Amino acid sequence: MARLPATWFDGRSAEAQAVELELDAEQLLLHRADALAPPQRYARRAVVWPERTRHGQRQLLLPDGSVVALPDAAAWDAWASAAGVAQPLAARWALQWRGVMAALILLIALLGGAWRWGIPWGAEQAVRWVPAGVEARLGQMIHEDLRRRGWLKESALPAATTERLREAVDAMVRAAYAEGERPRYRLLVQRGPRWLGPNAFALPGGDIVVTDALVELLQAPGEAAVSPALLGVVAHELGHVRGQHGLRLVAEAGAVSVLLGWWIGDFSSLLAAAPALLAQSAYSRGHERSADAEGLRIMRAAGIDPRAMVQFFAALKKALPERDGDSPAFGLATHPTDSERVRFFEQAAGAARP
Amino acid sequence: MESTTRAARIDFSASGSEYFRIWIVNLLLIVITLGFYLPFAKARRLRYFYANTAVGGQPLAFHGDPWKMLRGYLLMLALFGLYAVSGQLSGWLPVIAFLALAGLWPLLWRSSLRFRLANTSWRGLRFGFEGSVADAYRAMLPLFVPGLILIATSAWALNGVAQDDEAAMAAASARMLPGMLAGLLASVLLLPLGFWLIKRYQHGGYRYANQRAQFDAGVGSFYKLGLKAIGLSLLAVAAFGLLLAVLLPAAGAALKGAGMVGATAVTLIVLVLYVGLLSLMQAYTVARLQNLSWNATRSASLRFDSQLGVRALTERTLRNLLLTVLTLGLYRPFAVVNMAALRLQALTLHFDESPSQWRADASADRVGASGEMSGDFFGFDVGL
Repeated sequence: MARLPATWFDGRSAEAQAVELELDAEQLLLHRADALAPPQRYARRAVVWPERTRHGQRQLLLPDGSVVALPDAAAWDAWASAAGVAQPLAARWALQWRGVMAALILLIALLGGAWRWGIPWGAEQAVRWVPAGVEARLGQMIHEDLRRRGWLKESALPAATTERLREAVDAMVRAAYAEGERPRYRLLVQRGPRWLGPNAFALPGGDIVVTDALVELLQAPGEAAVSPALLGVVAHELGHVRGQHGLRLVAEAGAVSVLLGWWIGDFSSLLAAAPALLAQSAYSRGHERSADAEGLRIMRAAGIDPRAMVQFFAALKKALPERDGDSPAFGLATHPTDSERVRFFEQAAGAARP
Repeated sequence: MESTTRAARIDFSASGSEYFRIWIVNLLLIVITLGFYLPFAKARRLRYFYANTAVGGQPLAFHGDPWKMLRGYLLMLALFGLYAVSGQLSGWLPVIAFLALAGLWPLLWRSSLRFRLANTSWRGLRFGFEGSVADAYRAMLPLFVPGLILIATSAWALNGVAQDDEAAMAAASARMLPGMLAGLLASVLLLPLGFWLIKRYQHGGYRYANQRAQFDAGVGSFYKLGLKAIGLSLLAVAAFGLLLAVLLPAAGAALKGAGMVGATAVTLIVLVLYVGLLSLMQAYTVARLQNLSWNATRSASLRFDSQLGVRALTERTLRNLLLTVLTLGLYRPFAVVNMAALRLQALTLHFDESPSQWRADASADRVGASGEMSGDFFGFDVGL
């Protein structure tokens, strides 16, 4: 095989030395200008070979730290392929536009699939591994935090009302789930600040908080039976508890921000914030829909008419006229629109729209 | 014998479309390997950029071993994971995690510089970083002082105050106010000092062959730059405020009844203006800082001259931002290449003697790889 002329920087001085390269089965030989000196020998496997880019000088990085500069790229490419020096797969792929387009399509498909199925599935699995004690502790810490901020105080409702509610929810859970499958939950009725209004939310670990304002909204004073609408709302929250949505959203948001970080190349960028928020909101809406579905199942099993939820949305609208339940907020809404949810329950009840 | 000063430009020959191809394949492999390919992707990126960065006709070379970088990357993943998890919990945990990270940060920064430079060569000779650990901590100290003031003040004011006691909370907030103001003032006043210390540490630690760099700018020049930047930002804020004062009433009248759509349109326009002004201020600071730092960097036989223009940088930043958003991020590799080109081509090196006479520094020592990925992980590049 012919020898290839090249330039060598020996790593001890910055002087350029003219050398000739030779390749045998296992080694790269470097012949120096001094014809009497024996050639330097390097194992082929230990040499870092250049990629065949169109721009940028080809360089050989030798294991002793020295560098071979190959200004004539074409000569090197020809000589190297004749000598059987293979390019790594990734480099070969990036060379042709066909390969790149295929990679781009595959990448978009993978990322799309990840967003739609991969991340939710992964989050669901990951969350199952979190010990129940840890999840409960997390929920407790959040609850403690809310209490310390003064946002959640002792309920001002009569004890009888909250007791009846607890019993009714307990009966509902027994009807809906077989022994041993019941989600661990704890129903808390607490007085919230004015801005929280009639509300209910589920914390990781199973604590479900219902505000006094919600009970006052849905429960007529003096009424003995617990309002079905109220039970419907609690059923929805039980859906969240069952699905461990609190932790799942945390895992999903984390995974999305990692993917976006790789795409944008920078984790702290402003550019990554908007799509991350959009993705998180989309996952949140998905969780709300599945909580509605689970709530419906619980209601049906307990013999509660799904129309009770329609009544709930109507009561909410009457009590809070300024609240715009139908605004999609351009993809940033954490819940699906009220109309969509009302439709869901109406269809379930088999009722036609008035 | 006469020694003439030779000027050498930096030739940056990387192509945006070629880097796009490398980037796509890298990204695909990163996604397929669930992130483990990242150090390898970074090594390939650096090799491409270095091979396209030529000084006096000879390019740089990157010698980093991706397998070693993988070790550091895994370490950073673990640390980052712990930090993210602790951030979700309430109580003292996030504070402790933050303090731990802050404590490690200068160490990681220094390791990162040492790794990157020791694995960079020009004409076969390696670069190096000579800054000490103690100096790294000293350089970063001013940045932590405002944060510490704020934490200490809140802790002192909130001591023994129950959060549901509204009167006590109000009193505590009033007590916190002077401390918060002091913290804010400190952060503004100490910022130029912080930047100066960091640049002095960085640029004063660079070594190539037997050439040891020194940093000649005084802290006063950084305060001057700081004042100009503040002046510019005050102007920008005033302009922004004026625009809002004029725009919002007019928009309100014109879009009456357009409801959500109108409100969103106005919000978008305001956001665009805000981002534009922010980019202008950022470009100003980056350009002036690059010029200031590199013009003050010299060694025995070498000095630098940086002439990066603010207008050119602003135009390019805005154009890159617009195209990146419009293409949902696909323009990013092109943006990275053209930004590097602008910043590198603003530099000129002046050699007092021919560099081919230079010899390697005999005391160069080996560096560990865990520092390298820390720099990458937190989103900043310890290069230029």
